Amino acid sequence: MTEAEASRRGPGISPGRARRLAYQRGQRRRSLLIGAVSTLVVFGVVTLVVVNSPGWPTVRDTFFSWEDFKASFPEILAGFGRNIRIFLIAEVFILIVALMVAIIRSTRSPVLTPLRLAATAYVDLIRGIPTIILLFLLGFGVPALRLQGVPNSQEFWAISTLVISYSAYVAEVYRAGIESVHESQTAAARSLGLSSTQSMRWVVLPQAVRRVIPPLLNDFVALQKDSALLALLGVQEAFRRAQIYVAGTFNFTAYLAAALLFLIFTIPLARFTDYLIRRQRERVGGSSL
Amino acid sequence: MSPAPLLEVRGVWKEFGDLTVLADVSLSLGTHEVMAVVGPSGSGKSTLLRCINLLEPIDDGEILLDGVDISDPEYEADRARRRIGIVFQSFNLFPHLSVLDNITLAPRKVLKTSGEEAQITAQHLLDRFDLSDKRDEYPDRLSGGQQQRVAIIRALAMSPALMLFDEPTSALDPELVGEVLEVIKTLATEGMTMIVVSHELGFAREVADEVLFMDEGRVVETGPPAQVLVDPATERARRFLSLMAESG
Repeated sequence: MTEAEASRRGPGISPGRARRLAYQRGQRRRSLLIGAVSTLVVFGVVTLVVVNSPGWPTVRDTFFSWEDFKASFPEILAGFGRNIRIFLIAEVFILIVALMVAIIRSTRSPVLTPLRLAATAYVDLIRGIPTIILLFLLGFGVPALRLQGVPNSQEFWAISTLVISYSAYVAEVYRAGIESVHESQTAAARSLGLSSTQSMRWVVLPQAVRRVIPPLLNDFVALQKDSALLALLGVQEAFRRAQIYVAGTFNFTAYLAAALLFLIFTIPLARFTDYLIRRQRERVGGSSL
Repeated sequence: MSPAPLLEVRGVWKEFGDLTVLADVSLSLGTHEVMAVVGPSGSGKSTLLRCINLLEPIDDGEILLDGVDISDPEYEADRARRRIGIVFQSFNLFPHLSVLDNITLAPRKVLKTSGEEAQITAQHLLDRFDLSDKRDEYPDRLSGGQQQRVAIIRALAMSPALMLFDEPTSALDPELVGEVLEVIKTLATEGMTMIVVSHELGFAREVADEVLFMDEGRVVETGPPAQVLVDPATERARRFLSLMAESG
Protein backbone atom coordinates (compact mmCIF):
# COMPACT_ATOMS: atom_id res chain seq x y z
CA MET A 1 0.00 0.00 0.00
CA THR A 2 1.44 3.39 -0.96
CA GLU A 3 1.36 6.38 1.35
CA ALA A 4 -1.28 8.05 -0.79
CA GLU A 5 -3.58 5.06 -0.42
CA ALA A 6 -2.97 4.90 3.32
CA SER A 7 -3.88 8.54 3.82
CA ARG A 8 -7.10 7.97 1.85
CA ARG A 9 -8.18 5.64 4.68
CA GLY A 10 -9.88 8.63 6.44
CA PRO A 11 -13.46 8.60 7.80
CA GLY A 12 -15.15 6.66 4.98
CA ILE A 13 -14.14 2.99 4.60
CA SER A 14 -13.98 1.95 0.96
CA PRO A 15 -16.30 -0.91 -0.10
CA GLY A 16 -13.32 -3.10 -0.91
CA ARG A 17 -11.83 -2.66 2.55
CA ALA A 18 -15.19 -3.30 4.23
CA ARG A 19 -15.63 -6.53 2.29
CA ARG A 20 -12.15 -7.76 3.32
CA LEU A 21 -12.76 -6.87 6.98
CA ALA A 22 -16.08 -8.72 7.00
CA TYR A 23 -14.46 -11.75 5.43
CA GLN A 24 -11.64 -11.80 8.02
CA ARG A 25 -14.15 -11.48 10.87
CA GLY A 26 -16.14 -14.41 9.48
CA GLN A 27 -12.99 -16.52 9.23
CA ARG A 28 -12.02 -15.77 12.81
CA ARG A 29 -15.48 -16.64 14.12
CA ARG A 30 -15.46 -19.89 12.15
CA SER A 31 -12.09 -21.10 13.54
CA LEU A 32 -13.15 -20.26 17.11
CA LEU A 33 -16.33 -22.27 16.69
CA ILE A 34 -14.55 -25.26 15.16
CA GLY A 35 -11.99 -25.23 17.98
CA ALA A 36 -14.63 -25.12 20.72
CA VAL A 37 -16.84 -27.82 19.23
CA SER A 38 -14.02 -30.26 18.49
CA THR A 39 -12.58 -29.83 22.01
CA LEU A 40 -15.96 -30.51 23.60
CA VAL A 41 -16.57 -33.57 21.44
CA VAL A 42 -13.15 -35.13 22.07
CA PHE A 43 -13.14 -34.61 25.85
CA GLY A 44 -16.82 -35.55 26.10
CA VAL A 45 -16.26 -38.86 24.34
CA VAL A 46 -13.17 -39.68 26.44
CA THR A 47 -15.03 -38.89 29.68
CA LEU A 48 -18.03 -40.96 28.64
CA VAL A 49 -15.85 -43.95 27.75
CA VAL A 50 -13.95 -43.78 31.04
CA VAL A 51 -16.97 -43.23 33.27
CA ASN A 52 -18.96 -46.01 31.59
CA SER A 53 -16.15 -48.55 31.66
CA PRO A 54 -16.86 -51.64 33.80
CA GLY A 55 -13.98 -50.91 36.21
CA TRP A 56 -14.73 -47.20 36.72
CA PRO A 57 -16.37 -47.44 40.19
CA THR A 58 -13.34 -49.26 41.58
CA VAL A 59 -10.88 -46.87 39.89
CA ARG A 60 -12.85 -43.89 41.19
CA ASP A 61 -12.60 -45.15 44.75
CA THR A 62 -8.92 -46.13 44.61
CA PHE A 63 -7.53 -43.18 42.59
CA PHE A 64 -9.91 -40.30 43.28
CA SER A 65 -10.75 -40.63 46.96
CA TRP A 66 -10.98 -37.21 48.57
CA GLU A 67 -10.57 -38.68 52.08
CA ASP A 68 -7.34 -40.43 51.15
CA PHE A 69 -6.14 -37.28 49.38
CA LYS A 70 -6.63 -35.23 52.55
CA ALA A 71 -5.07 -37.90 54.74
CA SER A 72 -1.95 -38.43 52.63
CA PHE A 73 -1.32 -34.87 51.47
CA PRO A 74 0.55 -33.37 54.49
CA GLU A 75 3.10 -36.20 54.52
CA ILE A 76 3.63 -36.01 50.77
CA LEU A 77 3.94 -32.22 50.87
CA ALA A 78 6.64 -32.54 53.53
CA GLY A 79 8.38 -35.08 51.30
CA PHE A 80 8.12 -32.71 48.35
CA GLY A 81 10.22 -30.19 50.26
CA ARG A 82 12.96 -32.81 49.95
CA ASN A 83 12.46 -32.95 46.16
CA ILE A 84 12.93 -29.21 45.90
CA ARG A 85 16.03 -29.32 48.07
CA ILE A 86 17.53 -32.16 46.03
CA PHE A 87 16.66 -30.31 42.84
CA LEU A 88 18.31 -27.09 43.98
CA ILE A 89 21.50 -28.72 45.24
CA ALA A 90 21.84 -30.91 42.15
CA GLU A 91 21.15 -27.98 39.82
CA VAL A 92 23.98 -25.83 41.20
CA PHE A 93 26.51 -28.63 40.76
CA ILE A 94 25.17 -29.57 37.32
CA LEU A 95 25.56 -26.00 36.04
CA ILE A 96 29.17 -25.87 37.21
CA VAL A 97 30.29 -29.38 36.21
CA ALA A 98 28.57 -29.18 32.82
CA LEU A 99 30.15 -25.81 32.02
CA MET A 100 33.61 -27.18 32.80
CA VAL A 101 33.02 -30.24 30.62
CA ALA A 102 31.72 -28.04 27.78
CA ILE A 103 34.69 -25.67 27.95
CA ILE A 104 37.14 -28.56 27.98
CA ARG A 105 35.44 -30.07 24.94
CA SER A 106 35.41 -26.74 23.09
CA THR A 107 39.08 -25.81 23.47
CA ARG A 108 41.75 -26.92 21.05
CA SER A 109 44.78 -26.52 23.27
CA PRO A 110 46.98 -29.65 22.95
CA VAL A 111 47.83 -29.53 26.68
CA LEU A 112 44.21 -30.39 27.44
CA THR A 113 44.05 -33.40 25.09
CA PRO A 114 43.82 -36.03 27.89
CA LEU A 115 41.12 -33.99 29.63
CA ARG A 116 39.30 -33.52 26.35
CA LEU A 117 39.31 -37.26 25.70
CA ALA A 118 38.05 -37.92 29.23
CA ALA A 119 35.28 -35.35 28.82
CA THR A 120 34.18 -36.85 25.49
CA ALA A 121 34.19 -40.36 26.96
CA TYR A 122 32.21 -39.15 29.97
CA VAL A 123 29.52 -37.53 27.82
CA ASP A 124 29.22 -40.54 25.50
CA LEU A 125 29.14 -43.05 28.34
CA ILE A 126 26.70 -41.29 30.63
CA ARG A 127 24.27 -40.35 27.89
CA GLY A 128 24.11 -44.01 26.94
CA ILE A 129 23.24 -45.39 30.39
CA PRO A 130 19.65 -45.11 31.69
CA THR A 131 19.61 -42.85 34.75
CA ILE A 132 17.82 -45.50 36.76
CA ILE A 133 20.62 -48.05 36.22
CA LEU A 134 23.27 -45.46 37.06
CA LEU A 135 21.32 -44.69 40.22
CA PHE A 136 21.38 -48.33 41.34
CA LEU A 137 25.07 -48.75 40.44
CA LEU A 138 26.17 -45.68 42.39
CA GLY A 139 23.53 -45.69 45.12
CA PHE A 140 24.01 -49.32 46.15
CA GLY A 141 27.48 -50.01 44.75
CA VAL A 142 29.64 -47.23 46.14
CA PRO A 143 28.35 -47.30 49.75
CA ALA A 144 28.86 -51.09 49.73
CA LEU A 145 32.59 -50.51 49.16
CA ARG A 146 32.71 -48.95 52.64
CA LEU A 147 35.55 -46.67 51.58
CA GLN A 148 37.10 -44.48 54.25
CA GLY A 149 36.08 -40.82 53.95
CA VAL A 150 33.48 -41.46 51.25
CA PRO A 151 29.96 -40.55 52.39
CA ASN A 152 27.61 -43.49 52.80
CA SER A 153 24.38 -41.54 52.84
CA GLN A 154 22.07 -42.65 50.07
CA GLU A 155 20.83 -39.13 49.56
CA PHE A 156 24.42 -38.09 48.82
CA TRP A 157 24.78 -40.77 46.15
CA ALA A 158 21.33 -40.12 44.82
CA ILE A 159 22.14 -36.44 44.26
CA SER A 160 25.54 -37.39 42.81
CA THR A 161 23.82 -39.64 40.30
CA LEU A 162 21.60 -36.80 39.15
CA VAL A 163 24.61 -34.48 38.87
CA ILE A 164 26.67 -37.02 36.93
CA SER A 165 23.81 -37.94 34.64
CA TYR A 166 22.44 -34.48 33.92
CA SER A 167 25.85 -32.80 33.56
CA ALA A 168 26.47 -34.86 30.44
CA TYR A 169 23.31 -33.52 28.79
CA VAL A 170 23.72 -29.98 30.02
CA ALA A 171 27.36 -29.94 28.85
CA GLU A 172 26.13 -30.64 25.33
CA VAL A 173 23.64 -27.80 25.61
CA TYR A 174 26.41 -25.43 26.67
CA ARG A 175 28.66 -26.69 23.89
CA ALA A 176 25.99 -26.04 21.28
CA GLY A 177 25.76 -22.50 22.67
CA ILE A 178 29.53 -21.99 22.51
CA GLU A 179 29.65 -23.23 18.94
CA SER A 180 26.75 -20.99 17.93
CA VAL A 181 28.82 -17.87 18.67
CA HIS A 182 30.29 -16.88 15.31
CA GLU A 183 34.06 -17.11 15.02
CA SER A 184 34.20 -13.47 13.92
CA GLN A 185 33.52 -12.65 17.57
CA THR A 186 36.64 -14.52 18.62
CA ALA A 187 38.58 -12.87 15.81
CA ALA A 188 37.48 -9.44 17.04
CA ALA A 189 38.45 -10.30 20.61
CA ARG A 190 41.83 -11.75 19.63
CA SER A 191 42.57 -8.78 17.35
CA LEU A 192 42.26 -6.51 20.39
CA GLY A 193 44.96 -8.53 22.15
CA LEU A 194 42.73 -10.69 24.36
CA SER A 195 44.18 -14.16 24.96
CA SER A 196 42.14 -17.21 23.94
CA THR A 197 41.11 -17.74 27.58
CA GLN A 198 40.07 -14.10 27.92
CA SER A 199 38.11 -14.26 24.64
CA MET A 200 36.26 -17.32 25.92
CA ARG A 201 35.56 -15.76 29.32
CA TRP A 202 34.50 -12.26 28.26
CA VAL A 203 33.18 -12.61 24.71
CA VAL A 204 32.10 -16.16 23.82
CA LEU A 205 30.71 -17.55 27.10
CA PRO A 206 28.44 -14.62 28.00
CA GLN A 207 26.77 -14.86 24.59
CA ALA A 208 26.65 -18.67 24.63
CA VAL A 209 25.05 -18.91 28.07
CA ARG A 210 22.40 -16.33 27.21
CA ARG A 211 21.43 -18.30 24.12
CA VAL A 212 21.04 -21.63 25.94
CA ILE A 213 18.96 -20.45 28.90
CA PRO A 214 15.67 -21.78 27.42
CA PRO A 215 17.01 -25.29 26.66
CA LEU A 216 18.68 -25.28 30.11
CA LEU A 217 15.33 -24.56 31.73
CA ASN A 218 13.87 -27.48 29.78
CA ASP A 219 16.45 -29.72 31.40
CA PHE A 220 15.54 -28.24 34.81
CA VAL A 221 11.94 -29.37 34.31
CA ALA A 222 13.15 -32.89 33.54
CA LEU A 223 15.51 -32.84 36.53
CA GLN A 224 12.74 -31.82 38.89
CA LYS A 225 10.65 -34.79 37.71
CA ASP A 226 13.59 -37.18 37.93
CA SER A 227 14.13 -36.27 41.57
CA ALA A 228 11.30 -38.83 42.15
CA LEU A 229 13.73 -41.56 41.03
CA LEU A 230 15.46 -41.11 44.37
CA ALA A 231 12.54 -42.93 46.00
CA LEU A 232 14.15 -46.10 44.61
CA LEU A 233 17.09 -45.61 46.99
CA GLY A 234 14.72 -45.05 49.89
CA VAL A 235 15.10 -41.28 50.04
CA GLN A 236 12.00 -39.94 51.80
CA GLU A 237 10.77 -37.62 49.09
CA ALA A 238 7.22 -37.07 47.81
CA PHE A 239 6.90 -40.22 45.70
CA ARG A 240 8.41 -42.40 48.45
CA ARG A 241 5.95 -40.97 51.01
CA ALA A 242 3.11 -41.68 48.58
CA GLN A 243 4.32 -45.26 48.16
CA ILE A 244 4.33 -45.72 51.92
CA TYR A 245 0.78 -44.42 52.20
CA VAL A 246 -0.40 -46.65 49.35
CA ALA A 247 1.25 -49.69 50.95
CA GLY A 248 -0.72 -49.08 54.15
CA THR A 249 -4.15 -48.34 52.62
CA PHE A 250 -4.19 -49.93 49.18
CA ASN A 251 -5.53 -46.63 47.92
CA PHE A 252 -3.66 -45.01 45.02
CA THR A 253 -4.93 -41.44 45.50
CA ALA A 254 -1.62 -40.60 47.17
CA TYR A 255 0.17 -41.00 43.81
CA LEU A 256 -2.20 -38.47 42.31
CA ALA A 257 -1.42 -36.09 45.16
CA ALA A 258 2.31 -36.45 44.47
CA ALA A 259 1.79 -35.95 40.73
CA LEU A 260 -0.19 -32.79 41.45
CA LEU A 261 2.69 -31.33 43.47
CA PHE A 262 5.14 -32.00 40.63
CA LEU A 263 2.77 -30.34 38.18
CA ILE A 264 2.41 -27.25 40.34
CA PHE A 265 6.15 -26.87 40.18
CA THR A 266 6.91 -27.88 36.57
CA ILE A 267 4.05 -26.25 34.63
CA PRO A 268 5.00 -22.66 35.53
CA LEU A 269 8.64 -23.49 34.76
CA ALA A 270 7.66 -24.90 31.37
CA ARG A 271 5.47 -21.86 30.60
CA PHE A 272 8.32 -19.55 31.62
CA THR A 273 10.67 -21.43 29.28
CA ASP A 274 8.23 -21.01 26.38
CA TYR A 275 8.00 -17.32 27.17
CA LEU A 276 11.80 -16.94 27.10
CA ILE A 277 12.08 -18.84 23.81
CA ARG A 278 9.43 -16.61 22.25
CA ARG A 279 11.11 -13.46 23.50
CA GLN A 280 14.50 -14.61 22.26
CA ARG A 281 13.09 -15.40 18.82
CA GLU A 282 11.62 -11.92 18.59
CA ARG A 283 14.90 -10.33 19.62
CA VAL A 284 16.97 -12.38 17.20
CA GLY A 285 14.53 -11.49 14.44
CA GLY A 286 15.00 -7.80 15.10
CA SER A 287 18.77 -7.74 15.11
CA SER A 288 21.41 -8.76 12.64
CA LEU A 289 23.85 -9.75 15.37
CA MET B 1 59.75 7.29 3.25
CA SER B 2 61.49 7.14 6.62
CA PRO B 3 64.62 5.02 6.80
CA ALA B 4 63.22 2.53 9.35
CA PRO B 5 59.68 1.57 8.37
CA LEU B 6 57.10 0.82 11.05
CA LEU B 7 55.83 -2.19 9.16
CA GLU B 8 57.66 -4.31 6.68
CA VAL B 9 56.15 -7.30 4.96
CA ARG B 10 58.74 -9.43 3.16
CA GLY B 11 57.96 -12.19 0.72
CA VAL B 12 54.85 -13.46 2.49
CA TRP B 13 53.14 -16.63 1.26
CA LYS B 14 49.81 -17.89 2.47
CA GLU B 15 48.07 -21.02 1.28
CA PHE B 16 44.72 -22.56 2.15
CA GLY B 17 45.21 -26.17 1.09
CA ASP B 18 45.97 -26.11 -2.63
CA LEU B 19 44.87 -22.51 -2.99
CA THR B 20 47.60 -19.88 -2.88
CA VAL B 21 46.08 -16.73 -1.44
CA LEU B 22 49.21 -14.64 -0.99
CA ALA B 23 52.19 -15.16 -3.28
CA ASP B 24 55.41 -13.41 -2.37
CA VAL B 25 53.75 -10.24 -1.07
CA SER B 26 56.02 -7.47 0.14
CA LEU B 27 55.29 -3.96 1.30
CA SER B 28 56.73 -1.32 3.53
CA LEU B 29 54.99 1.37 5.53
CA GLY B 30 56.55 4.25 7.44
CA THR B 31 55.09 5.90 10.52
CA HIS B 32 52.24 8.33 9.67
CA GLU B 33 51.86 6.80 6.24
CA VAL B 34 48.55 5.67 4.81
CA MET B 35 48.44 2.81 2.33
CA ALA B 36 45.39 1.87 0.31
CA VAL B 37 45.11 -1.70 -0.94
CA VAL B 38 42.88 -2.14 -3.99
CA GLY B 39 42.09 -4.95 -6.35
CA PRO B 40 39.33 -7.32 -7.44
CA SER B 41 37.62 -9.49 -4.83
CA GLY B 42 39.46 -12.68 -4.07
CA SER B 43 42.81 -11.02 -4.72
CA GLY B 44 43.98 -11.64 -1.14
CA LYS B 45 43.57 -8.12 0.28
CA SER B 46 41.62 -9.17 3.37
CA THR B 47 43.87 -12.16 3.96
CA LEU B 48 46.86 -9.83 3.84
CA LEU B 49 45.38 -7.74 6.67
CA ARG B 50 44.45 -10.82 8.70
CA CYS B 51 48.02 -12.08 8.30
CA ILE B 52 49.53 -8.77 9.39
CA ASN B 53 47.32 -8.90 12.50
CA LEU B 54 48.39 -12.54 13.02
CA LEU B 55 44.80 -13.76 12.86
CA GLU B 56 46.06 -16.08 10.12
CA PRO B 57 49.49 -17.70 10.38
CA ILE B 58 51.61 -17.18 7.26
CA ASP B 59 53.36 -20.05 5.47
CA ASP B 60 56.52 -18.23 4.51
CA GLY B 61 58.12 -14.80 4.71
CA GLU B 62 58.49 -12.19 7.43
CA ILE B 63 56.33 -9.49 8.98
CA LEU B 64 58.43 -6.92 10.81
CA LEU B 65 56.86 -4.44 13.22
CA ASP B 66 59.44 -1.91 14.42
CA GLY B 67 62.09 -4.27 13.11
CA VAL B 68 60.86 -7.28 15.10
CA ASP B 69 59.57 -10.32 13.21
CA ILE B 70 56.11 -10.75 14.75
CA SER B 71 55.26 -13.60 12.39
CA ASP B 72 57.93 -15.75 14.00
CA PRO B 73 56.07 -18.75 15.46
CA GLU B 74 58.01 -18.24 18.71
CA TYR B 75 56.81 -14.65 19.03
CA GLU B 76 53.88 -14.08 21.39
CA ALA B 77 51.11 -13.07 19.00
CA ASP B 78 48.94 -11.34 21.63
CA ARG B 79 51.69 -8.78 22.20
CA ALA B 80 51.72 -7.79 18.54
CA ARG B 81 47.94 -7.68 18.23
CA ARG B 82 47.79 -5.16 21.06
CA ARG B 83 49.74 -2.73 18.87
CA ILE B 84 47.81 -3.40 15.66
CA GLY B 85 44.14 -2.46 15.52
CA ILE B 86 41.85 -3.96 12.90
CA VAL B 87 38.39 -2.88 11.79
CA PHE B 88 36.32 -5.54 10.06
CA GLN B 89 33.86 -5.28 7.22
CA SER B 90 31.09 -6.68 9.44
CA PHE B 91 31.94 -4.49 12.50
CA ASN B 92 32.01 -7.49 14.88
CA LEU B 93 31.00 -5.50 17.93
CA PHE B 94 30.25 -7.61 21.01
CA PRO B 95 26.42 -7.74 21.04
CA HIS B 96 26.16 -8.53 24.76
CA LEU B 97 28.12 -5.45 25.82
CA SER B 98 27.13 -1.78 25.78
CA VAL B 99 29.05 0.63 23.56
CA LEU B 100 31.13 1.73 26.54
CA ASP B 101 31.95 -1.85 27.59
CA ASN B 102 32.82 -2.77 24.00
CA ILE B 103 35.42 -0.02 24.06
CA THR B 104 36.81 -0.58 27.57
CA LEU B 105 36.95 -4.40 27.57
CA ALA B 106 40.37 -4.79 25.96
CA PRO B 107 42.09 -1.90 27.80
CA ARG B 108 40.84 -3.30 31.11
CA LYS B 109 41.60 -6.97 30.49
CA VAL B 110 44.71 -6.71 28.32
CA LEU B 111 46.43 -3.50 29.40
CA LYS B 112 45.06 -3.82 32.98
CA THR B 113 43.97 -0.20 32.87
CA SER B 114 41.72 0.72 35.80
CA GLY B 115 38.02 0.81 34.99
CA GLU B 116 37.88 4.52 35.68
CA GLU B 117 40.80 5.36 33.44
CA ALA B 118 39.51 3.17 30.60
CA GLN B 119 36.16 4.90 30.89
CA ILE B 120 37.71 8.35 30.66
CA THR B 121 39.62 7.38 27.51
CA ALA B 122 36.47 5.85 26.00
CA GLN B 123 34.38 8.91 26.84
CA HIS B 124 37.01 11.13 25.27
CA LEU B 125 36.94 9.10 22.03
CA LEU B 126 33.14 8.98 21.99
CA ASP B 127 33.00 12.77 22.37
CA ARG B 128 35.48 13.25 19.57
CA PHE B 129 33.53 11.11 17.12
CA ASP B 130 30.14 12.43 18.15
CA LEU B 131 28.84 9.23 19.73
CA SER B 132 28.66 10.13 23.42
CA ASP B 133 24.85 9.86 23.43
CA LYS B 134 25.22 6.19 22.37
CA ARG B 135 27.53 5.33 25.28
CA ASP B 136 25.08 3.04 27.09
CA GLU B 137 23.29 1.62 24.04
CA TYR B 138 23.75 -1.93 22.84
CA PRO B 139 25.13 -2.51 19.32
CA ASP B 140 21.83 -3.76 17.87
CA ARG B 141 20.29 -0.35 18.63
CA LEU B 142 22.83 1.44 16.40
CA SER B 143 22.89 2.04 12.67
CA GLY B 144 25.59 0.30 10.64
CA GLY B 145 27.56 3.53 10.37
CA GLN B 146 27.42 4.08 14.12
CA GLN B 147 28.43 0.47 14.77
CA GLN B 148 31.43 0.80 12.50
CA ARG B 149 32.46 4.06 14.17
CA VAL B 150 32.23 2.34 17.57
CA ALA B 151 34.35 -0.51 16.18
CA ILE B 152 36.98 2.04 15.10
CA ILE B 153 36.92 3.63 18.56
CA ARG B 154 37.21 0.19 20.16
CA ALA B 155 40.42 -0.41 18.20
CA LEU B 156 41.73 3.11 18.92
CA ALA B 157 41.21 2.66 22.67
CA MET B 158 44.20 0.29 22.67
CA SER B 159 46.37 3.16 21.30
CA PRO B 160 47.62 1.03 18.41
CA ALA B 161 50.71 1.95 16.43
CA LEU B 162 49.06 0.72 13.26
CA MET B 163 45.44 0.51 12.15
CA LEU B 164 44.11 -1.91 9.55
CA PHE B 165 40.77 -1.35 7.83
CA ASP B 166 39.25 -4.33 6.01
CA GLU B 167 36.67 -2.91 3.58
CA PRO B 168 35.19 -0.83 6.41
CA THR B 169 32.29 0.52 4.34
CA SER B 170 31.37 -2.50 2.18
CA ALA B 171 28.62 -3.70 4.51
CA LEU B 172 27.04 -0.26 4.87
CA ASP B 173 24.03 1.30 3.20
CA PRO B 174 25.26 3.93 0.73
CA GLU B 175 24.06 6.88 2.82
CA LEU B 176 26.09 5.68 5.84
CA VAL B 177 29.41 5.30 4.01
CA GLY B 178 30.30 8.99 4.33
CA GLU B 179 30.32 9.18 8.13
CA VAL B 180 32.71 6.23 8.42
CA LEU B 181 35.08 7.50 5.71
CA GLU B 182 35.05 10.86 7.49
CA VAL B 183 36.36 9.24 10.67
CA ILE B 184 39.12 7.43 8.77
CA LYS B 185 40.09 10.67 7.03
CA THR B 186 40.31 12.44 10.39
CA LEU B 187 42.64 9.72 11.66
CA ALA B 188 44.77 10.05 8.53
CA THR B 189 45.19 13.80 8.98
CA GLU B 190 46.12 13.24 12.61
CA GLY B 191 49.00 11.06 11.48
CA MET B 192 47.71 7.56 12.27
CA THR B 193 49.60 4.91 10.34
CA MET B 194 47.08 2.82 8.44
CA ILE B 195 46.43 0.26 5.76
CA VAL B 196 42.98 0.56 4.21
CA VAL B 197 41.47 -2.11 1.98
CA SER B 198 38.68 -0.36 0.11
CA HIS B 199 36.69 -0.26 -3.07
CA GLU B 200 36.14 3.47 -2.56
CA LEU B 201 38.76 4.57 -5.08
CA GLY B 202 37.97 8.28 -4.69
CA PHE B 203 38.57 7.95 -0.98
CA ALA B 204 41.78 6.00 -1.59
CA ARG B 205 43.08 8.78 -3.85
CA GLU B 206 42.27 11.35 -1.22
CA VAL B 207 43.84 9.77 1.87
CA ALA B 208 46.51 7.37 0.66
CA ASP B 209 50.19 8.19 0.34
CA GLU B 210 50.69 4.96 -1.49
CA VAL B 211 48.46 2.51 -3.32
CA LEU B 212 49.03 -1.22 -3.59
CA PHE B 213 47.21 -2.98 -6.39
CA MET B 214 46.75 -6.70 -5.85
CA ASP B 215 45.48 -9.46 -8.08
CA GLU B 216 45.42 -13.21 -7.53
CA GLY B 217 47.49 -12.96 -4.38
CA ARG B 218 50.28 -10.90 -5.93
CA VAL B 219 51.26 -7.27 -5.74
CA VAL B 220 50.77 -6.14 -9.33
CA GLU B 221 51.59 -2.51 -8.97
CA THR B 222 52.52 -0.06 -6.25
CA GLY B 223 53.06 3.68 -6.20
CA PRO B 224 51.47 7.03 -5.40
CA PRO B 225 47.69 7.19 -5.97
CA ALA B 226 48.03 9.71 -8.78
CA GLN B 227 49.93 7.08 -10.70
CA VAL B 228 48.34 3.72 -9.76
CA LEU B 229 44.76 4.97 -9.69
CA VAL B 230 44.99 7.32 -12.68
CA ASP B 231 47.61 6.06 -15.06
CA PRO B 232 48.55 2.52 -14.05
CA ALA B 233 51.53 0.87 -15.69
CA THR B 234 50.03 -2.60 -15.92
CA GLU B 235 47.27 -3.80 -18.20
CA ARG B 236 45.65 -5.67 -15.28
CA ALA B 237 45.27 -2.53 -13.16
CA ARG B 238 43.98 -0.54 -16.11
CA ARG B 239 41.26 -3.12 -16.77
CA PHE B 240 40.24 -3.12 -13.10
CA LEU B 241 40.02 0.66 -12.99
CA SER B 242 37.85 0.88 -16.09
CA LEU B 243 35.52 -1.78 -14.65
CA MET B 244 35.25 0.17 -11.39
CA ALA B 245 34.58 3.38 -13.34
CA GLU B 246 31.75 1.71 -15.25
CA SER B 247 30.02 0.42 -12.13
CA GLY B 248 30.29 3.89 -10.61
